[in-house]
Amino acid sequence: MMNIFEISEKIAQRPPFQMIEKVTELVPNESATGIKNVSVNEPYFMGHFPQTPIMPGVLIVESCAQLCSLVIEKPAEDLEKNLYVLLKIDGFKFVKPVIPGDQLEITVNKTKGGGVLVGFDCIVKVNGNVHAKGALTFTSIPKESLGK
Amino acid sequence: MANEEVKSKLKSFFMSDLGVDGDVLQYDTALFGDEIGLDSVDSLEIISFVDSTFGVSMTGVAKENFQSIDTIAAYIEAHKA
Repeated sequence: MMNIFEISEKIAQRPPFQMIEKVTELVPNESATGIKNVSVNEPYFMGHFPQTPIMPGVLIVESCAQLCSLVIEKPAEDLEKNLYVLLKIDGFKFVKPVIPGDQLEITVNKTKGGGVLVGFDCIVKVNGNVHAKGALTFTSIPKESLGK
Repeated sequence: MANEEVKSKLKSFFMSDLGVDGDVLQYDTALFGDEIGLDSVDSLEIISFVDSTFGVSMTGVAKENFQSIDTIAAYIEAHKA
């Protein structure tokens, strides 16, 4: 269980790009369940779409990715040198639209890891119904290589 | 594990996980050329598969070793415990 303050200590993203607000279950390097509350006040609803607010699918994927990043625990010396980044998005389906007022319950389970890749299956539910699902793969890159 | 078995497992991986057409993929086909067209993300998938399946790390290995199923299998044979 993690609240917003504990989450902010673990991830670098900040509003309006902080997409996980509470973690209800966490097994380090294995799985997690997290919550994202979707408010009508979120800035992207101004344009996506006027009069018909629907949460963009890419931001649902970002919510899953941020929860995955909370699952990945590495030694401090690893995280000082390397950055874990999203490498692949596989088979994502947006089964039902997400609208203001929805509470996303996101569950991620690690499917592979230990080597150069860390993979997760992700499921996004609202009121127990699946709204999106897919797989994400991450890898680490040396921070010193960024921009080169 | 016989070399042929290593190559067969590699080919199955390329077909099932990387979406390569088995009809055009021979053991000596250039993986990163125009015909198959794999990219750097696929190379990470290959490294991960070889590590988990054969216990051989190919991280940082020269790209010549990734040219074909033949060269990857040869590297595995030469470096497996």
